Amino acid sequence: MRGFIAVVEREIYERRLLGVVALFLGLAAIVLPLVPGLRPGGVSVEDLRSGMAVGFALLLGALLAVFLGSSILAGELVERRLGFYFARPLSGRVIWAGKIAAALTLILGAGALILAPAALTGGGLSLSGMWGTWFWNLSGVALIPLAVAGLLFLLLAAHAASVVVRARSPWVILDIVALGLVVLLIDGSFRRLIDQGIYPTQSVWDGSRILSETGVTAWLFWALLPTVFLALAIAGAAQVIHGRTDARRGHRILSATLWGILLAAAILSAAFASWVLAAGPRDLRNADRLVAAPAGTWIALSGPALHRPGYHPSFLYDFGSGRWTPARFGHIATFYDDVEPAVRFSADGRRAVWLDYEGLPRVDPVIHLYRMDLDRPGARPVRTTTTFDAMPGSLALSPDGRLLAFYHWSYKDRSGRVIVQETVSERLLASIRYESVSSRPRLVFTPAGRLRLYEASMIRRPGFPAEIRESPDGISEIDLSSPSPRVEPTGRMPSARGSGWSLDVVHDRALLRGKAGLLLCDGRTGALLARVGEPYSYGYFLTDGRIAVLDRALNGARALRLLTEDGRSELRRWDFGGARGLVPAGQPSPGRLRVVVSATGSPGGGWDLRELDLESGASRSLGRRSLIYPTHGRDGQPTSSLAGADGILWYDPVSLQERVLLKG
Amino acid sequence: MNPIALEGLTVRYGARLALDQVSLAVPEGAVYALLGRNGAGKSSLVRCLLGEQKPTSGRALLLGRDVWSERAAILSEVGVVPEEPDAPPSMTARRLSRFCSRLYPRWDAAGIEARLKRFGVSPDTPFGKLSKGQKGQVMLSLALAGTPRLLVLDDPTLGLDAVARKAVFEELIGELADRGTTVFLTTHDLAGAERIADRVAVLSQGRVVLEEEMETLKQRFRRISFPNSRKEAVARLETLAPVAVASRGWEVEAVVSRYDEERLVREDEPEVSALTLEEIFIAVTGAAGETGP
Amino acid sequence: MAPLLRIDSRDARPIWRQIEEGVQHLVARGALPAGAVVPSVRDLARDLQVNPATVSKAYQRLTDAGVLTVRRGEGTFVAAAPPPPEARREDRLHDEAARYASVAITLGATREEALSTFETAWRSLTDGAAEGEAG
Repeated sequence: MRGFIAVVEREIYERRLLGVVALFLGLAAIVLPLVPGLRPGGVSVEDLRSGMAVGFALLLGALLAVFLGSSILAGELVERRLGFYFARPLSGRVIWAGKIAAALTLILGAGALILAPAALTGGGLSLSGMWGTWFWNLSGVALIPLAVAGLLFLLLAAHAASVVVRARSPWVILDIVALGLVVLLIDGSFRRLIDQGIYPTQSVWDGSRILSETGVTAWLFWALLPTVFLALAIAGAAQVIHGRTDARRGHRILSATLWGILLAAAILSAAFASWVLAAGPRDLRNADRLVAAPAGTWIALSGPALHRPGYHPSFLYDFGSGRWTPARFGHIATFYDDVEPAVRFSADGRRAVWLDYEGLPRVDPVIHLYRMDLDRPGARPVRTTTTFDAMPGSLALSPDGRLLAFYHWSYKDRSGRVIVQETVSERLLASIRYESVSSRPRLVFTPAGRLRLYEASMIRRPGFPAEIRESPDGISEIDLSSPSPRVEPTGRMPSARGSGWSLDVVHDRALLRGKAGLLLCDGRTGALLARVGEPYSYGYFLTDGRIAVLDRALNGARALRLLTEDGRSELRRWDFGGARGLVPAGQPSPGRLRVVVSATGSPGGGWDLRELDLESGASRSLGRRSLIYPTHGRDGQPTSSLAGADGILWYDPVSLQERVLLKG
Repeated sequence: MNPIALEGLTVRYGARLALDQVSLAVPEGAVYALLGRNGAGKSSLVRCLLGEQKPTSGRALLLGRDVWSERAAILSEVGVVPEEPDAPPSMTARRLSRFCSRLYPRWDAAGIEARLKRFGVSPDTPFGKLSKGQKGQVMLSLALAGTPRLLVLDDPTLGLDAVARKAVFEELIGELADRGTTVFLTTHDLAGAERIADRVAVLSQGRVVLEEEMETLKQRFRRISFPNSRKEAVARLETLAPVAVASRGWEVEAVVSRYDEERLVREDEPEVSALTLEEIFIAVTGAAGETGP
Repeated sequence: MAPLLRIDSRDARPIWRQIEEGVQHLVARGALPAGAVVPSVRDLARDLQVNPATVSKAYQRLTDAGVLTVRRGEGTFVAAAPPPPEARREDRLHDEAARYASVAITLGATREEALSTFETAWRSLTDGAAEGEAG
């Protein structure tokens, strides 16, 4: 310890003139702003003083860091002095530590001396303002550790670089190669993670976000940062302790240590990135978006990955065979300000299409259309040549998967189009100009081979700004077999003044839910067929065309009614008393319907899974489940899967088995 | 325990072998001189000895411990005077003393003052401004002030004039008389070495070609000359291990390394004379190192 | 003492022997009278620029032989030499003479040559003593 202090004192004393230089600069910083003509307009004396002081401090600090780093331990001159030290009872550790400590003290001390006059004269030191904005919106307080870290890095790096250069060894080629490898691997790791969206979507250079981000990218950053410092420090120390006065040997030791550590860190980074991105569907904590194929065992899901904060992957997953493929589908807006995954399955479950964007969603994203044939064992996603400059407003796949339709408003053309093409060959069948009021018309292929559009119109009320209805009311069709297809209106749906609708494509009917009650309408003309439920009741189309209606009485009682296909007659009724939550949960077979019932209706709580026999009216309990997202399905389809605390429950219609797909 | 022990010390720089399996031991209290021509490997040996360089194989033990791994601990009892005075040029002798006093367990500051006075060196002059001789004297004073058990001097009189050289030797001898410190020195000053050293080793092309007590060395080397008429007598000197034979106009002379009075044949008219250390050194290294550095 | 005692590197004798015999000669010549102080080991070593151990060995032998005495705290002095017993002196002379004769014979000297060489050596020593007495 005494030796350490002796070395530090000696090294500082030898360079004591620096103090004079620093003080001189500090005084210059407070005097110069007073010189008339040197002050840029609009800047106060205090600001200019602190600006100059900080500038001088950083500049001198950086110069000192580089100069001291390269001379204090590696300089040729110093090699002789190192001989003096090494002939004394001073261990290499003490010599290295003493010199580095002395260098740091000199750098920081000089900085403090430069800043002191400005800090003491009136206005104090405002570190934010001019300097803060330059450095990524950081406040003055955060700037200090950043500056210190930066200067320390310069010091250590200058030492290492100087050792390498002064050794004049041909092996410096290896140093360059190693540096290149390290940079490549680490940059590649970050790029891979950022490309998969594990980063705030703002500018990468937003410094305050770097500091507060807590995802795996931040982990990597905060793990690598001290590693680099440590590697430089350890390598420098090893060079002094084991290389002693031998320049060549010192270089070898420094390089071996430095690149040993950094290459290991770089390889680990790459491995870490690979591990993060190797997450499969089984590694999801839960699925917050899930779309099931109408038939078959494929689902599209996305959710937060376990143990990988910030990573929200999405997949196409065949829970029957366990096959999966990453599918980074985006989201399409729907009515009612909701979004749904931009994935479409064919009715037979044999084909899927989805929309993916390249890299980070930036100002000009490039969105690709992917397709995949799900029934072939070796099937892989295929990137089609269809691209978009913005998310299409609507996407539809025909039931047999042969045709694809989308509505797209192009920035380039500044117009909207409805486009129909063949899925596999991408041959264009129709491209119709159409300006959608809502920008997200619902496109549906009818069994008759036409393309249906459901559109929401504008509400114009005097004295109020125009706004778009939340629910669709206009229905149009496109005849694809016509030589010049056009959008032809076919009808209008009544407004249920409400907040939900569902579609039965097979029987061409729609259910509208709202203040006016649950309305059954014709899918093509929109004509009202029957009022099948009270205001805000939920309605479901069952597989055989019959309708299930979920009533909610004012006193909280819930009942499930089974109606005929035309909605006019009630066939059966089940009462559930005061259950707060009741969600249909799939039809294992046409004659049966499952529901989950909960006394409290809260997610995560206990839900009772019941099976209703539609013919006999019997209701039996299948046990309790703990569920997270019991939601009413889209398009009136009862949810056939439920994300639960213990995974996703799937009802296999063939074996009638209930299967847990993912373990939470 | 020998203050210095080198065991199979080998130093290799790429293809060049600077030291080849050098083994030697310096006993307690000895004054040990290591001689060698330039390029014989002395510098590498001293660097290994002081733990500045790691030998390719073998090891150097100082005061019984491996000096490469325990250098800092060992050096608190060793005084080192390097070949090139390397104290920081801006430091005065007084400051140097103060700096060193914190590194050694026993520091004789008064002794330094007295020595510097004897040498005529001002303690307040920056080191860089001293003459070469004065620098060497300061380094010697610093080495002695730590009251070391062992002194290692690397060519302490190199480049010094006669007066400065004498001053160094006197200081050294005073130290020896007072405290019996073990001394290891490398030197080109053979005249000085032969008076002060009691053991000598000669390093030639990385190998120890000679290592013994000064006394026995001088006892067994002789120059024997014969008149030209008797030059075939040289052949009869085989048993005396001649190392060099030279012809000088009027006589032939041979330097023998195993002189035995009894073996001389008086009819050959031999003339025997003793050799100085310098002459022995030249004979030994001249013969072994024809090619030189 | 310095000009009186010189170390010759060309001398075949070891340094300690040169010192020992040198002192003996000085004492024999009377240049160092009985009771005179001789330089300390340290001082003589510095003067001659030789290892103090060497001087110490010579002094030790001289002390053992009774030529010098050490008085604690005061220094080393030439001993007041007691006359050696007759017998020892005779033996000593005889041994030395025998050695000289043997060396001379080995070197092939004739008797006359050996004797004349002896004469010369004797004369030089006694002449030196005479100088010493005078100076």
